[in-house]
Amino acid sequence: MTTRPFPRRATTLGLVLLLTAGPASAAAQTAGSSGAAAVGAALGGVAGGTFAAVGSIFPCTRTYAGARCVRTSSIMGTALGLASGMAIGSGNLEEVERMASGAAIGFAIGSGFGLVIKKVILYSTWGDVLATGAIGMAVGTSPEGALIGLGAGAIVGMVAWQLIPRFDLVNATDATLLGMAIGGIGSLVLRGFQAQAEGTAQTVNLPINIRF
Amino acid sequence: MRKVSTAVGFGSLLCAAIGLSGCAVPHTMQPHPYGYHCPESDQSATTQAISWVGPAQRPDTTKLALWCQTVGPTVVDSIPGARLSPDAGYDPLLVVTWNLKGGSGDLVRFLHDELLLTCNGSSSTTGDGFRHFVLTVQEAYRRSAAISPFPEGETAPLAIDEEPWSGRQDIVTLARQCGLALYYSPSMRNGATEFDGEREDKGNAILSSLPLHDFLAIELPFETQRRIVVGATVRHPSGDSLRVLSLHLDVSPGLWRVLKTGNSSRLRQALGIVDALDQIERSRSGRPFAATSECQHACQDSAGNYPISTILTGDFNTWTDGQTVIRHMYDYFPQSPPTDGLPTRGEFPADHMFFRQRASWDGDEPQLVTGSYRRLDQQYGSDHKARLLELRW
Repeated sequence: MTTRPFPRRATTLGLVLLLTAGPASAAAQTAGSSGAAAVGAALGGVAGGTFAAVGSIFPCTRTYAGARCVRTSSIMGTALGLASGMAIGSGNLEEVERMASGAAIGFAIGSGFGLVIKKVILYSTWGDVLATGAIGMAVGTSPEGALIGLGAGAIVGMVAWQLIPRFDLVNATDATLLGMAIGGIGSLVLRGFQAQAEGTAQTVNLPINIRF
Repeated sequence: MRKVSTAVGFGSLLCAAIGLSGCAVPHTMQPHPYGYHCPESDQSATTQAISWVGPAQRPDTTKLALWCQTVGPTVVDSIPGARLSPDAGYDPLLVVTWNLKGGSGDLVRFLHDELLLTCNGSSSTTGDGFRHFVLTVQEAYRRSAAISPFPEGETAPLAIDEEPWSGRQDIVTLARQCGLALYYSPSMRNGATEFDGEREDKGNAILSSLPLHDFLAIELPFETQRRIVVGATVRHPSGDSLRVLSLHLDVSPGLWRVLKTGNSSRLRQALGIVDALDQIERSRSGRPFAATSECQHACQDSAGNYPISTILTGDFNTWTDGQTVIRHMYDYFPQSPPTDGLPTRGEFPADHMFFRQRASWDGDEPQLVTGSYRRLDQQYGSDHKARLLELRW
């Protein structure tokens, strides 16, 4: 018996494309900066999707929806990161370069950590090295927000762990990772708005016209 | 150049979207042909009929086949070695589940203190208030010369990390020492160490003060390690049966698979059990096997009833009571007792019991005794506390 408890990948892909079609067409229309916008979008999309997946894993595992909840979060995170990265790329070339170098350093540190884990933990795979690399890349793309969020989440989690009887150590870990995700994605979004404010005003052809 | 960077950018984006979107991995379960046994050298399979069900799709099948060849034969002692309190009656029947942590759990003391059984081989005795029981255990180990040497160059599963003590004995020895019926089907090796020509494997087992029948072995969809769910039935004097299953789900796969599947590994394994039970129940009720999705998860008859009362027990490796896998199991085991939130391993409520009744046409199907589901307080050397419930016909 074939069991398919959740929608197929094509659905996910379709939703991602649908959600990102507007920002993508906006970037394509920005003469002279579409390369930077695309790189910014790619970095932002990877970072947003990774942050959302990592941040939602624990909370979603407490729900009936489970993987579907993680998937929805990832799609939203990817879309937000993509739009923000595109806005950064089309408005501030230096910021994209900073994102790219941060992502490269983060990936190197993350995958280095993954290599150590692969040596230590039985059944670890190269995929796990790639996954730690992706998390490092996400943090490197949006380091300030991710670290502030991580710290804030950890503090909130630890305090709640001490004060609320039913709030256990797993909940504290949830709060820490969720804080990192919110901080990382939030920082990307803010930087997107800032880059647009600093750069030339541009029109985004969404169903509703939004002027930055 | 512009096109290249655009392509690189969107290529990266698509990879991220596909890879990080929490795609649950589908599974397909199918019964193995009659006469199948694992490992192939298992000669005991010729004397005991065991129904095997496992995944049908690669790469699960190839991985499971490799793991299968490293374990020893299944052990079935269907009749208890001791004549235990024939007057005790079957009501209530105790169903207990406990993770032994290899040889760490002091099973003899557990049986004495909690189930009122004093182990002495075929002369084992019972105390006042004794009730017949079915005990499902996880992380049981077995030492035997029948287990093949571990293949060179392969990575053996780590041995269970135990505190050394003088009473360490394997599950087959213990069951015979206590005069209990036993069904043990190993999942994997317990390290690669040899002990004077003997080796160890580990897995789930069922011990019972009543005779065991109708043996099932369900290979779960492969996540990190090979996992076998063992199942057997006990029969009430009225002729009614209760199927009891002992499971142990994976702790966690690697980070990549956690992200890729949205942490749905344990749910995939648990739904594999539900589907395997469907396959077995449909085949025995005369309905044809069909590799279709028309009857996903817990086939019921037209009245929404199950053909046999079933209790699913074991170590789900959950860290909260509200996890996805627990919520889904309540769908397929609707008469399950509510969770009490009490931890059974450290701070985590890892161990659970789920129950569903068969179709009622004569009113003598087993009933869960209200309020009987509980956690036992002592660990008896294991890192888990046991759970217990009572059923009454």
